[in-house]
Amino acid sequence: MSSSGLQQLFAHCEGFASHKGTLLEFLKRHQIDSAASYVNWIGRTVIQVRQEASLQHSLSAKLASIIDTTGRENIRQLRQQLLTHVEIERSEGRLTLSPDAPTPWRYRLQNLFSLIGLPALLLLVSPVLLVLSPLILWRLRTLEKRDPDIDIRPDRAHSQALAAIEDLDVTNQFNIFGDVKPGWFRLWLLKSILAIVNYSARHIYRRGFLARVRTIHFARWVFLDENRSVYFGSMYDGSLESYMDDFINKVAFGLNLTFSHGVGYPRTRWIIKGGAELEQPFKATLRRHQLPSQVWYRANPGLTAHDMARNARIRRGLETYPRDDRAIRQWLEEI
Amino acid sequence: MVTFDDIQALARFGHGHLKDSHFVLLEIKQRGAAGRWLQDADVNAALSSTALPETALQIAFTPQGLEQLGLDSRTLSQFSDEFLAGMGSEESRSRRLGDVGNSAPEHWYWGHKNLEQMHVLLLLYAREGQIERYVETVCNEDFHAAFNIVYTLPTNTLGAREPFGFVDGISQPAIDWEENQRTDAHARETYSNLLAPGEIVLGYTNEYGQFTHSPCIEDSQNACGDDLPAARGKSSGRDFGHNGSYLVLRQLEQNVDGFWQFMSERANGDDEAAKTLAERMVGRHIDGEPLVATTSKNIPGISSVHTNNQFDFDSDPIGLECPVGAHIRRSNPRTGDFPARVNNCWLRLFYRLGFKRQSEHEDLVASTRFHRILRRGRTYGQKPAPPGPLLRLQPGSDHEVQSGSDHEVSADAPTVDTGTANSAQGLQFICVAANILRQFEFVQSAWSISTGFAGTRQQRDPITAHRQPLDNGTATDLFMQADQHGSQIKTVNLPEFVTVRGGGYFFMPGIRAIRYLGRLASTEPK
Repeated sequence: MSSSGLQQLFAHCEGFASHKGTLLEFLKRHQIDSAASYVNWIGRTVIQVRQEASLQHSLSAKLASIIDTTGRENIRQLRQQLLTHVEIERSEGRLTLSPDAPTPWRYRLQNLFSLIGLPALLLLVSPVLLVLSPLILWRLRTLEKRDPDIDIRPDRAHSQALAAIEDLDVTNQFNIFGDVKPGWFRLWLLKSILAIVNYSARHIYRRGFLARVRTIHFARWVFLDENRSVYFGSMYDGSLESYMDDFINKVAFGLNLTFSHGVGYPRTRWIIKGGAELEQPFKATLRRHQLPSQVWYRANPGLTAHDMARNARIRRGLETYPRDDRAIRQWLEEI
Repeated sequence: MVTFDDIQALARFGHGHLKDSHFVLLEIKQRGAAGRWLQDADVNAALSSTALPETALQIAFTPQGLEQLGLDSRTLSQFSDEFLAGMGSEESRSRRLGDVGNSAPEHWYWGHKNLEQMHVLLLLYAREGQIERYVETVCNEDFHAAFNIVYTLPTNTLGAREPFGFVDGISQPAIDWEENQRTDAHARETYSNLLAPGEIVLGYTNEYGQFTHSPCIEDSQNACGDDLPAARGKSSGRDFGHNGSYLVLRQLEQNVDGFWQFMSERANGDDEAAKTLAERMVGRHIDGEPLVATTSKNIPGISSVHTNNQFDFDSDPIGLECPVGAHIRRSNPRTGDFPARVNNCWLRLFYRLGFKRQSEHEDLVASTRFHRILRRGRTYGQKPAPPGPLLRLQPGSDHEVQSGSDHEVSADAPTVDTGTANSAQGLQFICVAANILRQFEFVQSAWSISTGFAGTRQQRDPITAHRQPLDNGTATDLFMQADQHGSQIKTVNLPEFVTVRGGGYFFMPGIRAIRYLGRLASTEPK
């Protein structure tokens, strides 16, 4: 559909003119897999998000009109009327609630291997790791101590260019690009940590939260330039300052684990402490390495991760029989 | 050791006993004269004394003002970005602050069009009825040789209530000047009203246990600053920012008639219900009592006799007592660092990794201590007759029409071109902070105007925010109250009650730094 536009865009890439084959083939050939990626809610589709948002809208309007006529006290009756309303809306084609598409068996199988793979590998190498760990820690600490104290403010024009495209929607985009600190040790450590992050994102943090942070829609880390640099991109709810607040006050350890291998990052202690805890140098480092997005697409503008999770709960409340009156009240409260 | 004799008094005291005030924005007319005036200006310091001062003078500067006085560009560039840019100069900042539509900077009376002439902010305070005489004393011949008055901000005699009729100024952080309270996260899991001095004044540790960036003068640029303290963490240079604070000033016009008319309409003319709706939006009763029950637990920094402040929202997660979107809950959510109330270290780790949560409402709001502001605002406009519902509910009490106390602008101050400006009422919102972005701007963007505050939707601050829909058309002009029966009580089509009429970011230097500026401007002609 948009192939001619894309053709035009990618015509500026090296090797595109000499490439024989379709655009898709070109893209696939140049694709770089991310070292780690996080999805707020694995398996939740765009269509599902939109359907559930429509459901919430419809229920919310109906609830208001029922309350106007019959009051809010009789909650079971309210629920019954809302169920009827949804039935009617669905039969009239104004609401659609498609059932979850089955997870492809290939994915299930891959997922199972991935689920077992990393722990098995870790178990296998754990004796070696255990023996080596004092050496690794000593090496890490030596390198950390050698890191320079950097506190350089971002250029004002750069910050302004970034701010100009922020806070247009309830969700913002975030791109960071930087060099990995030299030496095989840092690279090896970062790769291992990102492998664990990727594993956690795929198998543990798959239902709306990444540690205590519940505002991240997507995030990924990609190695570029033959492992010399790393790109990190994410989408988060709220303004940059609240994202930074989450980083520093809730998951500083996570930021340090994954970002402290970048050149210019504030000095860490034992890879977990320091770093992001140094508020102003940390914010300045991230801002300095941030890049403005030229084009940024969101499938669901206006919806935060929290909104999507709530809409999904509303739907679940519709499709399951409530345990008790408290569950009905909770359901009504969210509509 | 806090050097109170170098800190301007406003960072420590609100001058509550000095009920009259006079705020002016000045342009520097003659640099040398301005320098001489600043060297002698009788600026009030933050020393406590048994005898309260009869008058007070505080001075703050814009970047343009500092530049005019001759502060070198290298020092100037070390001030924070938001101060250097100004409150109304970037569209993205206006978006974050919610200064859009009628509140957009292009409609401001001051702070946008006349930004280049805005150099100095003078805040004068005196006892009731004494302000005019004090203004005459301060703004003497030497003063007029040095400055032009660009704009006189209206103020009126300070009372306990803001123009909508609510008792105001109850909640303020208590500054931990002795630095007794630990700032590391382990010690600060629950809400404390004690705040590290570095959150208010530069040169002291902030809530991160760190020093907020302070502009320093390099030795090569230093003409006459030898009495300034040495730059922190550097081998040379002088700390210009030490004992200084950033100051945020916003003229917020309040549509008092519109506010009470709306409440009355929605309450179908029932005065008691109108008052209740307004109280739900504010989060306090009209006389200042909080909607949530006061707590018996100890909140550091709040004396237990101060019952109107002795509360947090822990016991009311979904907002049955005080709606989650209420004004005071958004401006000061009273959250701590770690909502999990567990002591077992494994459970704590579990919690830290995100696996444990009592409810979906938990842990949605940032820890409050990093986003506090110290409010120093003053009301303005003719004190009106109490609005209809209030008048009928409490005839005569507390709400006498005050006549003769309305403020008169000095003869040489240009009057505002808009006819409504002089009859309007509102608040000259002032707050003092060490980091405008993390404190004032965060409160404004992440809490006040955010449509996602604490997991709420389709609503912004019911009192202060604008009502513009989201880009996808979603309405944001709702106010929702949780109800015991589950479904939310929705008030729709909220109009805007507050319009921003002007605003600016200032720096309120320490007193030695003011003298430095004075010497700089008077000794080194440009």
